Amino acid sequence: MRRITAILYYDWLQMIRSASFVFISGLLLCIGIYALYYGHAQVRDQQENIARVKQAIDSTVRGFYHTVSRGDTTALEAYSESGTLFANYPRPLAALSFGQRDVDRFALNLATYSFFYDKYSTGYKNKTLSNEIVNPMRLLAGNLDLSFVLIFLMPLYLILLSYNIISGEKEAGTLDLLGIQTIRLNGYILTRLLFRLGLMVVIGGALIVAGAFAAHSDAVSTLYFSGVYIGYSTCWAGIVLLFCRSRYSGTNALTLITAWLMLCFVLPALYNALLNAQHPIHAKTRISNAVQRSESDVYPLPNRVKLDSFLTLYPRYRTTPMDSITGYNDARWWACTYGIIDHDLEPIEEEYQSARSRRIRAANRWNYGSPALLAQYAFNQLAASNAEQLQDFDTLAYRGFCKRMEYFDSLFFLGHNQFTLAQFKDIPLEYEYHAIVPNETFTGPALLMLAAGVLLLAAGYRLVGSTAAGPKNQPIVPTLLTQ
Amino acid sequence: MTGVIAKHEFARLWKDRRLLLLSGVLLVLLITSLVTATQNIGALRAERLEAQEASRRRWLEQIPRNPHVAAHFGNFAFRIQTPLSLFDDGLDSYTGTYVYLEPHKQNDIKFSQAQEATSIGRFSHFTPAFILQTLLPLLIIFLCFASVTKEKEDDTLRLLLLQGASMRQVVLGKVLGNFGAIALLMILFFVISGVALAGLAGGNASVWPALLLLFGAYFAYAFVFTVVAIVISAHSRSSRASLMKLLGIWILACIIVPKIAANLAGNLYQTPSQFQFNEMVRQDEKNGLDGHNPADSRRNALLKQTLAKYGVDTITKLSVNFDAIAMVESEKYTTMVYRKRFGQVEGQFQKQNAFCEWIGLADPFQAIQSCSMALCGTDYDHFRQFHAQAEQYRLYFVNTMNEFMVTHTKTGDWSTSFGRDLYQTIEPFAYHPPPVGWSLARRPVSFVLLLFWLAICPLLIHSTRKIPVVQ
Repeated sequence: MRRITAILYYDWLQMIRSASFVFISGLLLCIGIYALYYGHAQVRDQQENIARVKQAIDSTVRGFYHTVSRGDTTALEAYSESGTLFANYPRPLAALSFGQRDVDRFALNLATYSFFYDKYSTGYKNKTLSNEIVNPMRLLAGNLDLSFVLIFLMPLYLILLSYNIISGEKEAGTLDLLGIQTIRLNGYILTRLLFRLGLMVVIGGALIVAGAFAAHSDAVSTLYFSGVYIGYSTCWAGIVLLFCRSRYSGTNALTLITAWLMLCFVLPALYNALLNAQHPIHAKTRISNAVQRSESDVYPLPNRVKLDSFLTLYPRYRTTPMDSITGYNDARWWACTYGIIDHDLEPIEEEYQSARSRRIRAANRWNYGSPALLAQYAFNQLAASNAEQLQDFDTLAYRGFCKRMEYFDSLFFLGHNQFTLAQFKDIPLEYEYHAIVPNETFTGPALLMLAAGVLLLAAGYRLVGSTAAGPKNQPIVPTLLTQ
Repeated sequence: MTGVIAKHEFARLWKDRRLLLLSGVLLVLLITSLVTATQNIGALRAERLEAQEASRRRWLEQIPRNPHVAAHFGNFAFRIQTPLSLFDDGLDSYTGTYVYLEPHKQNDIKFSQAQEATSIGRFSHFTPAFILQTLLPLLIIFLCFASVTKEKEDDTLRLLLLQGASMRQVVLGKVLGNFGAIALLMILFFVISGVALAGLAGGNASVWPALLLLFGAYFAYAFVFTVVAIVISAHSRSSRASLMKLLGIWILACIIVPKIAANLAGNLYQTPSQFQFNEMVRQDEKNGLDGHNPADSRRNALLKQTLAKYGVDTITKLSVNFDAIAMVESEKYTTMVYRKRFGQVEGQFQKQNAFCEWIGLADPFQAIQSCSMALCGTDYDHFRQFHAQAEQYRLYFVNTMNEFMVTHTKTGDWSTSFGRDLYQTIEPFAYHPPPVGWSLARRPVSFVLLLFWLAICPLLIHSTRKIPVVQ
């Protein structure tokens, strides 16, 4: 134990005396701190945007309250003067792993007559269903959040610290000297590598804890996040040990950088290309076509036909024989027209969403082809910023819209479009959305990476002994003498 | 002497199995990227072209309507990918697929591919541009990091200098020798890409000058990296130090700086959220003319003007449809509002992009990325060009319908309907991609910065003249 402490102590001394180590560590910390700031700023922006939509809805509803308090009004007015917020509030850990949150919508006002019409074609009244305004150049560059630092930069840090862990000794002529020490050579190498792994974990862990603390994340989620990171780091330690066995430091550095490039860039890019070929998403243009077709088919329908078609789809509103709908001033005209359009488009939307789900499931399988992808997936899952959660939000938004419509449709059809002050409290102002974050989606990847890391370390440990010391029958002392 | 060294270096590389192996890997990656991209782009193009035709068909097949109501039926404009997006898909995945064109509103281009992407899609895009921008510099580093240091370590550099070569000649010879091998690889790259492009471009001849310019730009980029790699090798004491410095430069230039630049630019030049943007537009619209609202005071002012123009005293005596005139005016106003507000957002985007572009002064990756996207028609300017043409088309068909209503109906007449004959007078939407010259003119900074990097290469080589040979 004392020997190990001594090795680590001198290793540490050597490191901190190296200007490049101090520079690289400092640079990494600076980038890490900026990444924390960036993630928090992104989350704050989204929170503020949600608050703005909420405030706008509240303010409209407050104005409407004065109208109602002066006397009864119509449900159609209540519909247009109220809103329902459906927001995907960022989880605290989204500040650490922002994931796909920057490409999708997160604050919707469900007060719209046709969900699909506003979502897919016009957004005439309700822009919250449109895309968020972001510079595509920024999306191309991607988020510089903490997950980027942990996934891309920390393995590089480990590589830079460890690429010459064996060859450095060889080049300095101290490897043979180590061979005559009482400590086993592979034990010595492994100790030094684990020390570097520890350093990587400590720096990354400190950034995670600082970020999670600033974001007010709960301890369990932070622990899971750290667990994923530890698994990922261990995996990289194994890769480093396996690929740093050449006698030349240059070759080791090149091999390790190639491994890093393959696992972090080339393979993900290749998987993405294959995924696009395997699961192309084509349904969007079909939806836009269907929106226009549905609108052109439904709008010109005679009012009586329109009403009957609607009541066939929603028989619960057919209580007594009804007069035909009159036109724009009739609440039921709006409900019927857009109710039929949305009903027509629902199967196409479902088809699109199921194609999207298939694509996501296929992508999740590809994730197992690279620890970088697996770690990113697990981080995003924990932060509820993955494609699954965003799709879930997207599909639940339509259900929320249907729920809101159901409330108002019952007033339009069964309540004779009357609206009283007493009913004011029933207006749905917000439907809560809670992202589903199942534990197994990130504990699996974390354990898998940890296991892979341990296996690779074990394999590397065995191989180091055989390759580092050179041919078995070569005497050590003459080698030292010739040097 | 430079020629001899170059020839020797080229011959050494030619025999080196590393070059063969790495080039082979890059070629396999290139072919894979071309195959997958051809399939993907081909399918998307066909689908969008079909959707564009379907939109046109539906426009023509709509029931007879009042011209303004018919305009409300709207048209879709689909963004068709350029054949060169096969080479560099740039912002294609992050910009929307289509825009819905209708009266009164300038809509956003909706639904980017990125919205359907999973986290895999955010890592990197597998295109020839990715290979040339990111992987090729690494290949150059692998080949060149020891080109001078090895001579130092083997003590052969002194021999070379003793034979009368100057350090500058040695470095220049190494640059030419190494670049010769890399250039051969690049030629092969572009020939393969050209073959793949020929299949996708069909008879579109405009892609070839762009491909030629792309070749020139990437040639310059590869040359810059070769010079940097060999100059750093010359300045380094050992191959290890040289490699570490070069890898550090590569990581900073190709991975970290582009990301930091884009994110910093976003923080420096902020844009409103979609909700805020909409509120601003709503406020502006409130102050304008409401074409549909007869109680609007600005509409009354316009009515007075129109009555005076036609020399009548009441609206019923007007020979034209005043409702339609009001709508034409209203369209003008809303267009002005949208131009102003979209202009503000775009102004911020342009500032963000310009910030990143100027980073090209310190990072050739930024310069080549920008040049490559511009030449392939997948950069922000091309996206804007599509949006502008779509908006122009929107104004064209909405105004045509409104103006038809002005002269063919009377005020208050919303029931007279016109059918296919009227709809056919509207030309179908067709996006005309700007020529290559336009792309060059839109991104002068990036192209100049690439030339700037090329121009400082002799200076970098010159800086090696006083390097001590004996360490």
